[in-house]
Amino acid sequence: MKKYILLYGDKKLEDNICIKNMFENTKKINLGWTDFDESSNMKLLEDMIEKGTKQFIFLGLEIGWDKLIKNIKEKYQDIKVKVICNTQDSLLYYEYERENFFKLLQLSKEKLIDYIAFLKKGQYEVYKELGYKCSYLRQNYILQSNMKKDIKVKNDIIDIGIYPLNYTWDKNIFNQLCIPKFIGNSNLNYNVLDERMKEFLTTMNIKNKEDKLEKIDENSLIDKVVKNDITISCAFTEYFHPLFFISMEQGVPCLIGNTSDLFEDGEELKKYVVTLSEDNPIMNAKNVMKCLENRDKIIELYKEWKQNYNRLAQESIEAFIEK
Amino acid sequence: MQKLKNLIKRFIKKDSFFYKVIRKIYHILSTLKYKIVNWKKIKQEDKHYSEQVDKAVEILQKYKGKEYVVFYNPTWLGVAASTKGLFKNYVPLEHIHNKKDGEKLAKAIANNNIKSVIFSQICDGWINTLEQIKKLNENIKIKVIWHGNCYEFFSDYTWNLNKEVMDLYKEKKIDCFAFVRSTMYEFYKKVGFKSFYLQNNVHLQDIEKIEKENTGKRKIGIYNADTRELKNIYTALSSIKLVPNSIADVVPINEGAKRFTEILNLETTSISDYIPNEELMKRIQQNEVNIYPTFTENAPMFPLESFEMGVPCLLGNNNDYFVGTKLGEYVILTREDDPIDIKKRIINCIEHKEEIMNLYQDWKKEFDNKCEKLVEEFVKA
Repeated sequence: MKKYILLYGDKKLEDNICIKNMFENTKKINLGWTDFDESSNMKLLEDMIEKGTKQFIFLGLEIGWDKLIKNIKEKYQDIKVKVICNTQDSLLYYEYERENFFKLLQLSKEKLIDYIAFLKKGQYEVYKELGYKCSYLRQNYILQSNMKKDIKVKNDIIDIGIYPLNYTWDKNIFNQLCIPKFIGNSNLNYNVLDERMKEFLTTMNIKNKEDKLEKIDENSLIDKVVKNDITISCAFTEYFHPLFFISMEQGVPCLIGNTSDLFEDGEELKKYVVTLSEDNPIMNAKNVMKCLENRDKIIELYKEWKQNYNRLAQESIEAFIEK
Repeated sequence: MQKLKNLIKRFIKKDSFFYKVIRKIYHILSTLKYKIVNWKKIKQEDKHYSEQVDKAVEILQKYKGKEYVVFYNPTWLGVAASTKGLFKNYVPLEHIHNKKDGEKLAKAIANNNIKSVIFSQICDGWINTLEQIKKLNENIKIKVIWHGNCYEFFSDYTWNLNKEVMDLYKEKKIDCFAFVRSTMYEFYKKVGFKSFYLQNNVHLQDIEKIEKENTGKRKIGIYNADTRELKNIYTALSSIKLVPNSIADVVPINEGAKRFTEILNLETTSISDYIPNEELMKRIQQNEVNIYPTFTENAPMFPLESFEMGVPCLLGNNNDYFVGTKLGEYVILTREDDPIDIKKRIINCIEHKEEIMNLYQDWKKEFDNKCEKLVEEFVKA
């Protein structure tokens, strides 16, 4: 396998959870805010080349990384540069996302980027048809055995965990906060990202306990999910699903939006853990109850599904590195 | 300025006290700047709003002694179409910036002996007006139609307005609410508010029917989708790209989306500006299908308008239309962010267009009856 380093930034911390788990050799680099950032990044990459790195895989095309890629390709024609696209159509409304995505496509056309990996099948299909060198990369997360924690012992209260990692529109926060209102004897543990979330829950008289995530990383999320009977992550649109994996791996069912390519149509696990209407709190309260009633079955189905999925994901990672 | 903003964002945590102070100061200063720079425009606007109040007072005379009147803002196109589609005694009314205008309107309502006043959403200054009405005659019922869903509480304006109307309900200045989505109705009822359920409806029999040109291409429309991220315009464009022999008609199309169609090498007949609704209704009749794969809604008007013009419309699984029906199986999307799924559904919809339109005709008859009953219950309350 060609010696590679996966490079990631700190702008989208949520993305780093899965990506650091998926790839063995990873390194954080700066965003190219200033000339200093750019030159220190370049120096770091050159050191890696000296030590035998043959390819760089960038997670996204963040600020200034286009210049970095151009510099690398100018000086080291033999070094392969690949990018894992960490945006999707639904996010292109924002100039930052859109401009970086358009730049990514342009660099690919100019052959400064050798290969693009898309985390959404839909995106992959479109750009494959348009002639871009690209592949579909399956997101994944595998729990290390020493990270397994004891989960909450069932009692009379249903603890529901909602831990959005960003206070952004796509997280569908307030519709999710409504769900416990339709579940008797429940308590909501949630990541406070804005005072309005507290105010909303108080105003609507929804029983809750603040459970702020101090850091967006694997360990912090594990500590949160194990306190709950179920976690909910019904975002409108997503390309990584870290909360789903972390929760399910710990044995806590997690309800997600119909936003992933994880499952095939008709797959039994999907019927339990995927909602078809992310903004419908009544339907999602019913989905939560169905998950709780079938908890053991869901975890068994997950283990079975995950075994096969791990293989598929590993194959897609290896194929991408080998391109 | 953008660079400065980025720099601040880089070094200061978004939830920190310091960030909030800077944001507040920035907000105050920009409001002040706006007022100074645009004082002439603001003065003209205020004059315009006062004239609208005078017109509303005139219209109210027409409804003397009526059971109800409903106010709506004619510039909020969706709300306006929805209100006019449901109620008979409607009165267009824009923002009220002058307290005296509010008092004038309240007096006209009391003097015309109108039994209940419905506010279809709340504009600037309407809260003061409804308080004035209750002051003049506490027996006049005040009802508010809330067109948003909880997603919208992400916006400062909507959340603050929601808190205000909830407080007014607690102070008995608002008698009840109506919601245009069942989930909102159930939620507010559970929270303890007297709530009613309405559904938006459209009646477009007067729009001229246009003969469809045969271009040999599949024309697919995306409309009123450029203003918000929720409208999901980029996924919609990608899905059209995947449909063989397709052309996208996008109105209005913004610069970003236009560049995207170029990158996709997607043929379009799009235009950049909004066009009057009547013109739009004629335009969409040239399409095979329209798509409206938004992420969250209440009771969107466009899908119904499209069906009324004889063109099926795919819509997100985020409203109460067609739920549990065969028609719904054809046109409700459950993967709004997946262009492959939307493409498959477009093709399926084109293949079953006739059946879909027949199913719609049957559904609409029942829906019209249902809407009428719901309005009746709300008006009588």
